[in-house]
Amino acid sequence: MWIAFLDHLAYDLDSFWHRASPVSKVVFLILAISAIIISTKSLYLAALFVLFLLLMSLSNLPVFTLSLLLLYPLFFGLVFSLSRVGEAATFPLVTLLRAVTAAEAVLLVLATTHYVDLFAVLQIVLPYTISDTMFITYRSFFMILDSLRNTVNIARLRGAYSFFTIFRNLRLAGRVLGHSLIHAYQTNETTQRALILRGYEGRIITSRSALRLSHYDFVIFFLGILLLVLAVVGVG
Amino acid sequence: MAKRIAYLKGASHIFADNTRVNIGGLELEVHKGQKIAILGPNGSGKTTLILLLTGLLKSSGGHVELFGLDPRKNFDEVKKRIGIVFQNIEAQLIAPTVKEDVSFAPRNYRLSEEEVLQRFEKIMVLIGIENLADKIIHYLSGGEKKKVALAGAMVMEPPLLILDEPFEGLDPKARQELASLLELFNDLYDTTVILSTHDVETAGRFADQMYIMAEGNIIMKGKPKELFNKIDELKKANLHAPGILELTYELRKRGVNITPTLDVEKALGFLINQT
Ligand SMILES: Nc1ncnc2c1ncn2[C@@H]1O[C@H](COP(=O)(O)OP(=O)(O)O)[C@@H](O)[C@H]1O
Ligand SMILES: [Mg+2]
Repeated sequence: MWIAFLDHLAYDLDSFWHRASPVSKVVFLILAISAIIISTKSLYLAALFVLFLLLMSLSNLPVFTLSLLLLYPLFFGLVFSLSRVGEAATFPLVTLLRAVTAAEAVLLVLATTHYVDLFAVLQIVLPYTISDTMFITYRSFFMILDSLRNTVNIARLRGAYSFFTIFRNLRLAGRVLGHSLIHAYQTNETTQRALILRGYEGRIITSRSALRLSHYDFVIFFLGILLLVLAVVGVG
Repeated sequence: MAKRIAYLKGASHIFADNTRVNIGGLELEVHKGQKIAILGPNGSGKTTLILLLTGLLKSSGGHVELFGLDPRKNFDEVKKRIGIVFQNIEAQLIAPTVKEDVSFAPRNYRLSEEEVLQRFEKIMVLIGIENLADKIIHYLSGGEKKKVALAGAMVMEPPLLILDEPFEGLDPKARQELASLLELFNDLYDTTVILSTHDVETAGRFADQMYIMAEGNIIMKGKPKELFNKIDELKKANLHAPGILELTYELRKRGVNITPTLDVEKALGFLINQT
């Protein structure tokens, strides 16, 4: 279970990045992703990619295992880039780097932040309806990934397809996805009921201390701003 | 007679795909402090009944009442007074750690962090899972998850606790343990408990009133002892009677002076007296 793994990393490990307030990590994420979107230079994006790997490692996170999760955006980034080969406007490498680096930044924050606190902050920044939906679908997103992986594994064990014939089995893949979505939908229905019965009114309440800032936070703010400035002034 | 907590007669719901599920037959009437089991095979309408009763599903027609109110119209009022453990445990544990999940309701009701902690610790000790406080929920066993969900439902000490198929997937010992916990709440807080199950044995030991459902209808109700005299009808409703119950029942049908029971000692007592 990826979701449980991320929870474990966020709750059971400790580092300066873990101890920083979710507020500054969310701000950092917004700045970092803005930098990624603005920048058109693959060298800068690659540098960001390495920087985030370094930060992961400094946060005591298992870099290799987490990198496996990056295969998902890599795959979609690849499909997207390939579909645009020939259009001179975008260089595929930039698209690819953007997808993977943004995903990496998100992972860095997810794997070091208590998930309830994270959403408590997100709802300050985002409109309620969006943070609300995200809170409820966050778990199902990872459940879909897990269930996809399980089904693919089962299908492979039963000889349905190998990695190389995957494209010949799009119909099967479609069914797997459909099945996962229905499962996630039903799970969401129960989750929603459980939420409102337990007094949830569209606002996640967290212990106040989680939102207090410390000196780590200013370092993180500063780093985020630096990344954005570099992207804007065109270094990146 | 104690205060009436819940009442349902002839409710029905039309699902998104236009399936209409009628909960017909006898009326359901629950009084304060009772332990109710709703027995029925898969698809007999237990979950639908629970969702209708709590106002989570809209009833078209019929009469549904919870704490003297229409639960649909007064949902905000009634929701504070019920704790629910759904069948799908995974879906209702929303926070990653046990502590955050169990603290979820008290925080939503704006208790101070001190009170939140106090309530959390109290319920954890009561359920006997203090050792799980800082655990990541996804790594817990099924039985442990169920207890965490129960803690989350009971942390506000609601007067009504509803559990949908709580014994499913538990081994006999865990089942008995869970039933004892429910009895503890019932004794301690006079909590009214309504649970659904297809396990005749556990329901028979636990409940003081049982309702039998088949194809959406409540077809029988009564104390376990009364219903144990009608095992043919339980079987018609596709419920499996434990061997000892069936044996004592069949013996009585054949003229032996014995009361149908789940209790081996009692059955032995009757039989030894005969000879
Ligand atoms: N979301 C739904 N959409 C359509 N039909 C449903 C839905 N939920 C339940 N039903 C139908 O309602 C009937 C009763 O189901 P349910 O209350 O879940 O039974 P039980 O809990 O006893 O297994 C079944 O025939 C089932 O197919
Ligand atoms: Mg059910």
